[in-house]
Amino acid sequence: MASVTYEHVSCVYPGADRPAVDKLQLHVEDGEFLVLVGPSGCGKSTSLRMLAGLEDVTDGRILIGDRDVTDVPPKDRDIAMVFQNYALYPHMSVADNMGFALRMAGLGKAEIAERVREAAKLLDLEDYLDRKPKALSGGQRQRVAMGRAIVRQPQVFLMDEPLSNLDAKLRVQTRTQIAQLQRRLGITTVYVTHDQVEAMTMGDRVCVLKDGLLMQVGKPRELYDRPTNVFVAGFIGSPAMNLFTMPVADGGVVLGDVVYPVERTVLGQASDSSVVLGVRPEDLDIAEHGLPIEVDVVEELGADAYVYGRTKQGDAEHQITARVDGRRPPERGSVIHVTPRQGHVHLFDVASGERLGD
Amino acid sequence: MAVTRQDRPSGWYLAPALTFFGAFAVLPMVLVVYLSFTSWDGFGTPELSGVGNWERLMDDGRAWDSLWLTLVFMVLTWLVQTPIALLIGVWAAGRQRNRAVLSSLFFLPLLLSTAAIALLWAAVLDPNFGVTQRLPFLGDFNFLGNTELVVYTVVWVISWQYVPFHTLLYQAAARQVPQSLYEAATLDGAGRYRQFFTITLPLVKYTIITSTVLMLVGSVTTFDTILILTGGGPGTATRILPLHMYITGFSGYEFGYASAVAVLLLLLGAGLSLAVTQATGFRKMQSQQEGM
Repeated sequence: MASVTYEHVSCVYPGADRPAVDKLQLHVEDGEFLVLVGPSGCGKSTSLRMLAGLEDVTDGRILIGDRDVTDVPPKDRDIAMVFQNYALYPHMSVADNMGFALRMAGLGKAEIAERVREAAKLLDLEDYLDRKPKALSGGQRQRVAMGRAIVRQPQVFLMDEPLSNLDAKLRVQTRTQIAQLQRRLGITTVYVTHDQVEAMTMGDRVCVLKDGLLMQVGKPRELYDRPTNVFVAGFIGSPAMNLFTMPVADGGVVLGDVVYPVERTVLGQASDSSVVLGVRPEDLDIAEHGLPIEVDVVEELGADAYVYGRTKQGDAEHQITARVDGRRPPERGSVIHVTPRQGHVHLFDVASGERLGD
Repeated sequence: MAVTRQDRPSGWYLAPALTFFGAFAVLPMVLVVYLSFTSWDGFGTPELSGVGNWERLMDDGRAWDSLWLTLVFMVLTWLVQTPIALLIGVWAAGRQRNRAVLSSLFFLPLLLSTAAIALLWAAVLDPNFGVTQRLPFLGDFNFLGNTELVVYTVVWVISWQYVPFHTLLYQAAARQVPQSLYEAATLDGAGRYRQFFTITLPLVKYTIITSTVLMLVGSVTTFDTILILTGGGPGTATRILPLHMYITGFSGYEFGYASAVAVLLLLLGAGLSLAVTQATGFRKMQSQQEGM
């Protein structure tokens, strides 16, 4: 067991004019499940691969526990990785796939067999040990890839989008299984995904990256309730948070025909006469006055319904999503008014995108 | 519009392919079997001579010597070409720029005609004007005149000619191996040699078989390089069976007898490729990446 520390770690690919990962500063606690999330090209996989030793660190240091592993060969880092395509050796049986690293480490046959059997039991793979990967289903292959990591009893698990090759239903099941397994084994895990739902449901903490820069790291709840900038606000949550640029009025922000009250100290931080206002679909209530929405689409999910529509603010037209009671959804084409729930509005600076106030 | 059974492409779409296959594969084979039972000097009308040619072939010591030599060539060229082609191919599969540049040099012999290659090497190895005279420290070898050495010389030249082609096959095969397998193996603690034997080699298995079959069949069909390089000599030191067939037919004008030899070669080639594909499970071949 060990913690993982990135100290100002950068990675610049040859020929690239900007770093794939830029001065990443991150500490993962011993036994913690940390998820790296972000859109493609954000540097999440590169960060993971640098930890694995598959990518060179251009600048900075990576520590596992107290040990600087920046220049340690991958096999000596005491880590195990689960690949997106599983990278199972197609010509080897499940048992051989799982035991390969142990064989390379020079363990005895009996011990390898024992550890493979244990892992197989844990993952419900005992009946498939003699099969080749081609004779397994996608979910079974995924479990073999997990098993291959588990038998090594490493200090850190690295997982690079291990669920993206599964169908939707299996992905949800396996998501829970991996999280449970990790908690049971207590092994520090760094998990990469582009799916923010995966990130929010699995991680003890979530680290959001964009363009090689760390945007925010924190517990899923923190990211959801207090995004530090516009990017995190829009990225975390599904359906995404509504974000509009709105003019500032005396004592608040103009929303349709009402003024949403905001403290002067907060408004004073803004660099412009307007601010970016963010409000999640579930924090909008239907009211007599407020922001008018022209309803385009109503998605009925049973308990809830999502209203997708347009709202006008001055000359600009914004797309807007609101969650409403599923039993009384508005008609398509109708106009409704919504106001944000007090205390559930996020304000960001127009220029920097940084959060204003609390 | 729904596609009904009647809209399916008719068998006539097969006609062009079948015509070519019939005209250039089946028909010559049938003809050569027919000719093997005739006596024909290439000018008049072939006259049926029963099993005469076949009886003669059975008793023809030179033909059997040639067959033995063919098998020796087959084994030697395979032993020389396969490891070299495999290693260069796997090396050339890397995306590094220096590898790309060097590989294009390696592949140059592919662009040369057989005649050019044979003449080139005949000049290089000429005992009076060739490399042994220019570079005396190499020793005074008569590469083409010594009856024992010439066998290895011919194996070398043929390998030089065909290694690039097989290298190309291996390069393509090695490039198909997913990079993540090597990454997984690196993390599992396998070094480069280990990765070659544990990942690359098993995953290019079917290419090794393909390349082997091509080499074996090549050994019983091609003779042009040897014809130009040594003419089968000195004496009959390099007179492999295909060359024996050619010389019998086109120098001795015994097309009937040459056809009997050709039929023997045909059976040998077909038998060998069947045996290899059977023995290696190639017939059950599936994608090498199944399970990935």
